[in-house]
Amino acid sequence: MFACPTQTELYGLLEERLDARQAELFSEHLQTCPDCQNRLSQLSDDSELYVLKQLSKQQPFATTELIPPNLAERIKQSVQLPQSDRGSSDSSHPGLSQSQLEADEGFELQIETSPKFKVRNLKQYKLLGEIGQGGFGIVYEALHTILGRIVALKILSAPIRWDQSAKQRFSREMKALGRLDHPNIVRATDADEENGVQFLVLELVDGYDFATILSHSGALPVEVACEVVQQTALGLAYAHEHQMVHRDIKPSNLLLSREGLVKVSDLGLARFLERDDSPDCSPPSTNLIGTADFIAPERVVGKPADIRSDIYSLGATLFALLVNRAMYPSSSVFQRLVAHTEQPILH
Amino acid sequence: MTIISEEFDPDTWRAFRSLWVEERSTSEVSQELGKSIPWLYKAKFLVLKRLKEVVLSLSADTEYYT
Repeated sequence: MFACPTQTELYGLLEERLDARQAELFSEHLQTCPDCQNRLSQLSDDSELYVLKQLSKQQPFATTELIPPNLAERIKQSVQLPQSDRGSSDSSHPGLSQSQLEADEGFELQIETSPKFKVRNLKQYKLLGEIGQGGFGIVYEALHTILGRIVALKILSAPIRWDQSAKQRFSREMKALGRLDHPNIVRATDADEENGVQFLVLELVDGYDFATILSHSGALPVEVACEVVQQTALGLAYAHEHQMVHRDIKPSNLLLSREGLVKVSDLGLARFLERDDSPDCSPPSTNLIGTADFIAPERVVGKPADIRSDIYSLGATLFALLVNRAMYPSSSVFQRLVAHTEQPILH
Repeated sequence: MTIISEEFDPDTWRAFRSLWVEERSTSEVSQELGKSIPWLYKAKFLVLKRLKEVVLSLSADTEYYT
């Protein structure tokens, strides 16, 4: 009678380390031995992946279908958007009058770079007007002069040294960002540099960020705040599937389009800007970047960011959406940072 | 899951999904795919091993773009 294989031999079979003859003998035996089948079943399993298993039992991810149109409609109805000062919201040219589109001269903009000079065009983009300022630079409405399409153009103004290494990292992050295509992520369409001005071209979201919305209309109803967070989570899940971590989730980085879609902006920029000039294969630097009210505790103490850091920041964002204030308000940035590591989670 | 599914041949992926996600019996899956029971467990083992590598890399903030 053939003796049952040992655990080591069974493991060898799974890892394909046995010679062909031995593997064949064990396989024949296993076909008819319930005990060995049971042992093989246990050896082939991994209890640490249990949570993932439970998630996998749900239907395969069809992210675009997971945004119920009726809920998007509810966001539109519940959130009072500030009056646009950018004119109409025509889908092809939001915010621009025909005369502006046809004008020969773009807006004369003074962009402070080093050395200072005036910029009206960047490559094939004509700057039309400033939309707003974020942590990573100034955003302009711009016209793609060849395609006649209106885009958002972000000029990076972060205080970093634009040497060869920074340019390579910028290019790499933008490539990763360019691969993403999800309704809950602001799509990047181009990234380039001209005369030392680094810029990123993004889909123009006709709407407002949630920091503006909160300051205008106050705390959101529970179901709307939950919907905002759900849509954000879908965008982040997609980004994480593509090995990207945002690192700076906060209300001002979530945009609400007039169609009721929540879109995550500035993906890839935090990672790019917090890296130092170390060689490509070195571990990430722990330079602190992010907003004190939303930063995950592990980031405060200098540990690297991962998916969980974004989830924490999303939780802090949900808090702000629900009560229209930060979790740990304080006039001192230091105290706000430390509170994430020392204070109990608020309920 | 979506990312790594493309790394395996369709039979291996179906065996993995049927055994691990859907928790179907090995005899049923074996009959359906025309594969031996040890082959099914090997398929499940290989996919889980790869899945764990991906999960660990996502958790550790390793260098993604090398």
